[in-house]
Amino acid sequence: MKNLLRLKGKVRLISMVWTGILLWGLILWFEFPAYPLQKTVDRIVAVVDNQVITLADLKIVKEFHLYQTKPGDETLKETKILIRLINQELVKQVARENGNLDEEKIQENLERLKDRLGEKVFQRKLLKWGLQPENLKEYIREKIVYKNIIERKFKDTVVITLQDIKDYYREEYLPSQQKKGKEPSPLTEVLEEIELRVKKKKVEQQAEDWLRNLRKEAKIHIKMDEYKNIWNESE
Amino acid sequence: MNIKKISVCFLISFFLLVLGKGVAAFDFPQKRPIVSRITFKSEGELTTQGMKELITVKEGNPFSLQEVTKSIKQIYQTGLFSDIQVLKKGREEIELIFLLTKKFSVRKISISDSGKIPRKKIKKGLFSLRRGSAFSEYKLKEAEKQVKQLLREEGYFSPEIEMSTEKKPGTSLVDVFLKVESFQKYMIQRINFSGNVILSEKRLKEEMKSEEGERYVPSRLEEDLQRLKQVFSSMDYFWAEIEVEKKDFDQKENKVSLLIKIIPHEKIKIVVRGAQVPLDLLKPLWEERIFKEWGLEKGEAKIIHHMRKKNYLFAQVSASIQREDHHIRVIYDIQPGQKYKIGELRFEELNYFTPVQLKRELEIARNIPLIGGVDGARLFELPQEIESLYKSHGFTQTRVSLNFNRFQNKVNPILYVKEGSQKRIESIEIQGASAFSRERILEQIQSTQEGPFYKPRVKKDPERLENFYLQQGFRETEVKVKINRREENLYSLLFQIEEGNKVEIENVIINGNVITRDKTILKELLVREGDYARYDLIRKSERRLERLGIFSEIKIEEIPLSPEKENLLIRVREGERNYASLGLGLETKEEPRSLDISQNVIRLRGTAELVRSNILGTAAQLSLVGQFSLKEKRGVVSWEQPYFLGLPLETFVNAWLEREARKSFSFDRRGVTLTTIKSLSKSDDMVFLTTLRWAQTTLFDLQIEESEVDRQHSPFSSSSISGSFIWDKRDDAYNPEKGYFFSSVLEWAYPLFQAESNFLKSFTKYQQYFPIFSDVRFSLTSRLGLGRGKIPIHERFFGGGSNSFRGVEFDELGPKDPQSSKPVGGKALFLVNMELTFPLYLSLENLHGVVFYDKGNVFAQRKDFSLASLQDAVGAGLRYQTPLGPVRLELGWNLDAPSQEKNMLMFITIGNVF
Repeated sequence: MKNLLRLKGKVRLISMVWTGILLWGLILWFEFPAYPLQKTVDRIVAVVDNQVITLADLKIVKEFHLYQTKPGDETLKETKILIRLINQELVKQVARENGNLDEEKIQENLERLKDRLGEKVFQRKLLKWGLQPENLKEYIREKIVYKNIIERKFKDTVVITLQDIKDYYREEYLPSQQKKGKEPSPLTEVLEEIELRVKKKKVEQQAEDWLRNLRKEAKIHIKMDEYKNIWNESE
Repeated sequence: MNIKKISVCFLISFFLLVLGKGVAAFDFPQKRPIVSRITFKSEGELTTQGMKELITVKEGNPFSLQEVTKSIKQIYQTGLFSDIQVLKKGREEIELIFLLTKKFSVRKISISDSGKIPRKKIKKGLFSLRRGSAFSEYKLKEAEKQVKQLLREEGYFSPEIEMSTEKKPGTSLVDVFLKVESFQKYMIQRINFSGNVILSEKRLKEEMKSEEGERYVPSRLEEDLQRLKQVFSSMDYFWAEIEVEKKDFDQKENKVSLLIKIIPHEKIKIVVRGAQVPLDLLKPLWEERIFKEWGLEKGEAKIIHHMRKKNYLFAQVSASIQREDHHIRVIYDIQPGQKYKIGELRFEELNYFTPVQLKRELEIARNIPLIGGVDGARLFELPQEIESLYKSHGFTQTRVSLNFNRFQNKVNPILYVKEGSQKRIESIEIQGASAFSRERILEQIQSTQEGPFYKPRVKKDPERLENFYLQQGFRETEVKVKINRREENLYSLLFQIEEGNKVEIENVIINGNVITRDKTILKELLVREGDYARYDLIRKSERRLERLGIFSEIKIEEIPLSPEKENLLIRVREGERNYASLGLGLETKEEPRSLDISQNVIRLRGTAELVRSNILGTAAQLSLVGQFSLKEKRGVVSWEQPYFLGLPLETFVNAWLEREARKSFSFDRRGVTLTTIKSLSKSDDMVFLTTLRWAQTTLFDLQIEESEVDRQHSPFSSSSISGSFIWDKRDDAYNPEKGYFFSSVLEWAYPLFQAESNFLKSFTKYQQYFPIFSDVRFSLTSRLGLGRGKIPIHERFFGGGSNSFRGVEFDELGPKDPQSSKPVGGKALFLVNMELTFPLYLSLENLHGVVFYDKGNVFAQRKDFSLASLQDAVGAGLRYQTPLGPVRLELGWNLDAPSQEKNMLMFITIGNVF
């Protein structure tokens, strides 16, 4: 400090500015230490009819992309992931299914997940969260059970009319093809593909309506504000 | 100094600082850290209370986020905490801190206000928060909404409510305070009616409790609308619509005007021609707007059923509707035909069942004259009942037709049973059961090899097997059944069992007991740490805890730790410990001779009781009872405990002081008894009692000649031991309809502790209840008392009165003193009571008539016993059923009374004779 005070003019000014910045940095360091004395590692984020969804569930599902994926879902916010987890829990309770799936199918999904992430990244993520590959199977099981229940409930009851197909062709297929700069195929050629897409869309719509009703009737307590901060703190 | 150099130095320092923070923040663990310590904090304080045993995270194990999340879910499942957070401290050796937020329950709810709001009504209508229920901020908000709604319904509009809570330190209890600060009230300015009113406005307003000039209460108005509907319904406007069309609120004057709309619709007149049928049978069909054809059909069916019940077996009904203006006439024309007596039921073409077996299965009583076996309505239902019975025995094609042999006014019903072929089970295969033998598995299901095939029974068998596995400590066992049809009527069954894991109890954790000792709770547990989690024993333990009578809530939960291990969490909530009761009544000095009891001297009688339960947390109970009346005064101190010297024997110690006035003597008595009760059956219907008794009795006001023993020993001390066996198979102890009751007591009084007693007494009682049909019941009781030795008067047998022999007054049966003619009691007693009760009026279910026959006597000595000396009494009366037994009004005639004596007596009592 003495030497600093001996400096003159510009040099003194610049030195004082940098000293200030350094001091501020030091204050921040102690105020928010690099490694906090104690940090939240897990807590309850939501309770769905007496079933708990924890912060770890949320983190793991997000980290390993285990939620139901649609195109563009990759960067879903935590709130949306949480809602999906809640939907899964509600559907499981309503259907009273424990998920008697083939172990093979779950293992298949796990292998696909590994391939998607790459072995190194996969192992690093596991190590980061203190997990074993087996720990992910329960999440995968719930995801598959959820998908099966929705399909079983709505796939066969959805009715697709020719008008639906025509509307989709006109309102969605044609504009999307034009946007991509491609020549749209005639309806007769893409009929099956469009029917599948329309069916999928309707199933999702009906499922969403059903889920909305389930959520209304269920007792759901979400501690949204808390988990948001916890998430940042934990990282 | 060079500016550049200084800047570079500072820049490097700054970035090193930031980078260092970033590197340190970005965890690159090389290996999994170890959990060195686990602590629990609740409300800021350290707690353990069995928490470590509940969770799967263990000290010394590598840290696993999965285990932490699992542990949070396991702790939450206990229901004790509303929020759980886990903090981590350290890097390679970490400490985990579980922060637990207790779930609170409501201790009391207080409502205060500045006006006269109906607090009781509001507390009653409040569902989201009740005394003893779980508390949460969410429920508090719901409660506020509910209270506002309830206040609105009571006429307190736009209420401002302040809700506050106070947590009781050291407990998980919270008091909730609701303060109603302000509200608005409205006066009813005017009530008008619109529509087709029919009645005068004055008449309508007379029926309503809401009045002009009074406060407007929506709930009261709702009741008024219902009342008006009933008025219209009584005028046969069953479909009348009455609702509030308009409410005009004047906010300035705080007044409201109501406009009630009335649409009576058609007047419905039900006409029944040809027979007497209560209209109450048919009115409910037409009270709602219904599909008219349905109403006619249903009405016809009800009338036919009613007529058949009265033995008009071949009654015919035709129904029609006539419309006139705003009137509908529903006409039921009945051709009742002849009334028949129903003879003995006969079956034809039976092979599988014999007639006796079939009658037993159908619970058809013998055809007793005047009482009968089957009534006409049931007769026509029998074919379907028989077909269902055969179906359950594998006969799916049985057809039963009902025919009659008529002769004058009697019919003999004949049921022709075409049995058809029986489906049978050829073989039963069990797959996947490794824990139990085939024989053991087969014992659990109802389907049997070579037995009848009945699909619903077969479908239930997997559930039976799953329950069996559950009882044996297995969890997640799944059983499926495959039915394979081999031939026309032959089936094979394949039970595929996926055995779950046999689960062991790792820890037993008790929570919620503040006063009750852990030991008291553990004594009732039939499973321990290390035992298999047998479901039946766990549920039985719950029932044993309930029987202690000290908890208001008991829950035993299984918290899985792993597929093979679980914790057993016993959650209890202790109930109220103090009870006080006061009973007051009236009694007459003498037994009433007529219904005009004002001729008699009437005094108060009463009982007061104080009970303190769960003393010292041992489930023991202390009670003080005092009774007083003209004839008796009694004070009793009782100590009751569920164990005796560590043995599971319910034990009572009573000490008492009493004074009683009997017909021929009065006495003061004090004594002590010790009684233990041992249950001899799983359902506690068979018990054995052992009683040690010491009593000292002082006679006074003796109105008979003193016997030798009474003369020599006054006061008379007796010490005795007695054994009692009780077997109670009645369906209801207070209002039995079927079953039996047997008890036998043997008392040996011996001279001990300077006592004078030296006698042996036995008393045996047997009761049987027979349901005859349609609420007609027959009951029989026999009593035999025998004694030998020197028995003082107060220990002898006495008979007579409303509860033993209804031909004489209380205690008056048996030998009398030659001078005073007062009863002296005896060493032998024999009584038989027979009663037939029957309904008097169908719409008053609880009112019955009774005819009875009593026979018996008391004998001075056992050798005096003679059947020829038994007296007879007959009588009749009325009974009104209450939850504590019937209120009885009976008239008895002693058939053996000397002609100069009055032989008709009236008795008014509560409780059964026996």
